[in-house]
Amino acid sequence: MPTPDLEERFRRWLKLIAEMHDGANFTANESIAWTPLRKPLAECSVALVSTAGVHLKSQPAHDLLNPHGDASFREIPGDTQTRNLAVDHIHYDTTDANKDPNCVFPLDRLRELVSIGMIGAIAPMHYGFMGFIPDGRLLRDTTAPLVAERLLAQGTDVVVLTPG
Amino acid sequence: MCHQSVGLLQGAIEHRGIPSISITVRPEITAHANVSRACYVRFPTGNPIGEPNKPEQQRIILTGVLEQLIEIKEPGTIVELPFRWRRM
Repeated sequence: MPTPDLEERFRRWLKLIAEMHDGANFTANESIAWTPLRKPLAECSVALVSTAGVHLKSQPAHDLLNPHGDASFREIPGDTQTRNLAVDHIHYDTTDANKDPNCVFPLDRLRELVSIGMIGAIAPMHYGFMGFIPDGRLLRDTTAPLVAERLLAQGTDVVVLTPG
Repeated sequence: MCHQSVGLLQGAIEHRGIPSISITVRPEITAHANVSRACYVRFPTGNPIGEPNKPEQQRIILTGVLEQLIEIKEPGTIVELPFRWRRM
């Protein structure tokens, strides 16, 4: 998919984050990890993982002011009512997401897809991150593998990831 | 930067053996993230699944994303979904 236009936009973005954030270090996966889909979606337990800053209102928000970001995560049960969710992030406009968290974290929509049989189940636990983590190595080396392990342990068959 | 973080989480999840798909509104970043499968929607940041309180629109988008889990066969594929942002 990379095109000259996308490449130019990517270079501009790299320059911007280097200027704005001390210690910014664009981090990508070294290679593409790939796991094939092993069974029909109608039999899959699906989990959401979002970097939009979603958390339960009863949980502390992520640290929005730390210049190094915040790589911690919040566990959000699959039966959570969306009115009990809050979305905190200072690098995008969260107005819509706080009106309706499904804009970034479509728990209600997943439940509907279970009821019509498109997917098998909604996973017991879903994961909310706040994606402002200027040095990606912090996430890569700490909480990303931990959450992957928890997703596997609870029997997740498919993960859908959303940004802010 | 949310997209860099999505990429790293997706890498860890696939590495652990769970198939996954991500949504991107910044394809220039996702194209460099080395992720298994992604869907590009031409929506603003903050609205990867669409507009607030438009359940039907959100459901169509989420369904379109899940269908790409079946369609994408080549690691590293980013598919643009045919949705356009038209807030009334």
